[in-house]
Amino acid sequence: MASRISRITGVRSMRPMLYSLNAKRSLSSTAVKLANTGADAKPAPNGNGNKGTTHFGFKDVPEEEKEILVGEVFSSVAKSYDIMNDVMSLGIHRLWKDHFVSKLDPGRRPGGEPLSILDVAGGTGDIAFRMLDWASDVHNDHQTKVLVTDINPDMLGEGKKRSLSTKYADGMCTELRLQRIRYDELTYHNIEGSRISFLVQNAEFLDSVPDNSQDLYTVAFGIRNFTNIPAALKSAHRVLKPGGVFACLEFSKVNFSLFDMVYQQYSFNVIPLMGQLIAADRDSYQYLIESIQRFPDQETFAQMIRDAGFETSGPGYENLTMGIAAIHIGVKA
Amino acid sequence: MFTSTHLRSPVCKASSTILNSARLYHAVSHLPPSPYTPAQARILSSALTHVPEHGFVKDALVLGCRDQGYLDSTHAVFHNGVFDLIQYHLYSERTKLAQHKDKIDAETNDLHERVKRYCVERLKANAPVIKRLPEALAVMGLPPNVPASLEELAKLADEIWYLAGDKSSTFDWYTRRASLSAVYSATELYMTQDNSTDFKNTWEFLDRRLENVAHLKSTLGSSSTWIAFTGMASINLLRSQLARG
Repeated sequence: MASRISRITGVRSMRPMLYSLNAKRSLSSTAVKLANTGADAKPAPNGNGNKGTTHFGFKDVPEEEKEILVGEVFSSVAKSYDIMNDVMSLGIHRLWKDHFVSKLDPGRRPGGEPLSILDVAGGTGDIAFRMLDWASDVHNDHQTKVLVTDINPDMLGEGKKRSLSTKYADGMCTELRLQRIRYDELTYHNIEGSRISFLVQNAEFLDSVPDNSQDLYTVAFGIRNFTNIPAALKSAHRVLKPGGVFACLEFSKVNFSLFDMVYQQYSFNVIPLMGQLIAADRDSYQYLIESIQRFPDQETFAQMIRDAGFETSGPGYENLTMGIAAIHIGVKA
Repeated sequence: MFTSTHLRSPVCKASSTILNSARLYHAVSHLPPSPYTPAQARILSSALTHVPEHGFVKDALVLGCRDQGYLDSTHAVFHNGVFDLIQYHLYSERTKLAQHKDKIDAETNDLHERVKRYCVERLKANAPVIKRLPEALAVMGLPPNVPASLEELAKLADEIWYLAGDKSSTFDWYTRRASLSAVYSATELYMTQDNSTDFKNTWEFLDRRLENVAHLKSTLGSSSTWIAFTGMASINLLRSQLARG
């Protein structure tokens, strides 16, 4: 076992672990550099006409740098993303995602139209494949399409790779094309051939997605990494058709204090360690945990969704596993 | 319209869409706001018109969205799916009971007769969906839905006693509501299996249950008198025995 671990982690990767044991909250070297420059350049949050700061885990960084930092994190974890999800959540993330999809129940119904689904921050395609499976298996719908967007080409690359082994990507439309065209040159209109397509997009703008064009907007475990969440919600509102549904699956606040204690201990002690052992990247997982802590609680986030112009029903959210995660749903009225 | 001496349970905990406007007391002049937005109420009412044909299922909800010009996917906004549709049926029929107040007040002065009349009105409202009601009851009986279902039953019993003009301020307040809940749910179950014309058997069943409750009350009353008398007598007997030595 020990030899296996050392083979996985490698000698090089032991250094960050030692480093992080000394300095409790460390980031990868570039990230630290960026964060420091940011802090030096801009000590006061509102001064000098600068754009203001936002949080990156427990650190405050200038808004324009968060995107780069988050990008680094996900580029670094892209390859081991799925196995780490399984290990960290003991496989429960699969149940959450299945529940999320069955709740949305996507697919063409008798007398209805096939759907256009936009899966934002959908990187590895977890939600997208589940949506298409559901539409095909439950509703016998072979026309509903999913557009997967992510700001990070590395994560999107993983999803594209995985899509090639499913029945949804027809080789001509995704692989060959993507070999010729860079991701960011791929526009919304030239990917109509297959049922799943991938596009690099900043969720705050969704430049290539037309107004009032989508039936369903999903974002699973992505929104907490956005630099400007209200802007992303506004974009979601823009691209959805009237009556379209915004659905978000995200980590949230545990509502049972005894269990919360156990969960916090697990989050801060076990997960970064597992990140170190399995993905050889403690800092990225430290960031993931911190970003979960910084994300607003259920009520606050539901209010943010309403403020963006969505209508919610009841409390506007559903807790999963005592609030470790929550599903928020809003409809464009 | 209603006198302020009537006691009524306050709106305790409302869903958070109306949290800001919900009050912890009940005031006749400030009725609690609807937990549904106008758009949601429209969708759910349209969906209910599809229940006799499709049943309490998600398809009815989807058709309701379609009728109101929304997309098929809009149904996802209702977090509890079919249970939200059922709850809307219960909520809307409960609030509609107040429409019968003037008529029932004019016809009878007897409190228990009024309670019976309200029960009949409420059960009649189930008639259009009665063949589908067992589906709804099954969904209401699912463990996650049980608390909300019981809460709705309690609210219905409270509404009926309140409209009938109940002024009890003792422990009776609770027993009346509890016994009416039991009677109402039993009658509703009976009604799902009733094939008589215009639910004649159901109304007779309801009469018998209400009589039982009255009877039970007098039985309880006389038993407690008997227990008290016998208890006192035994203590006195013991005392006299001890005094004798």
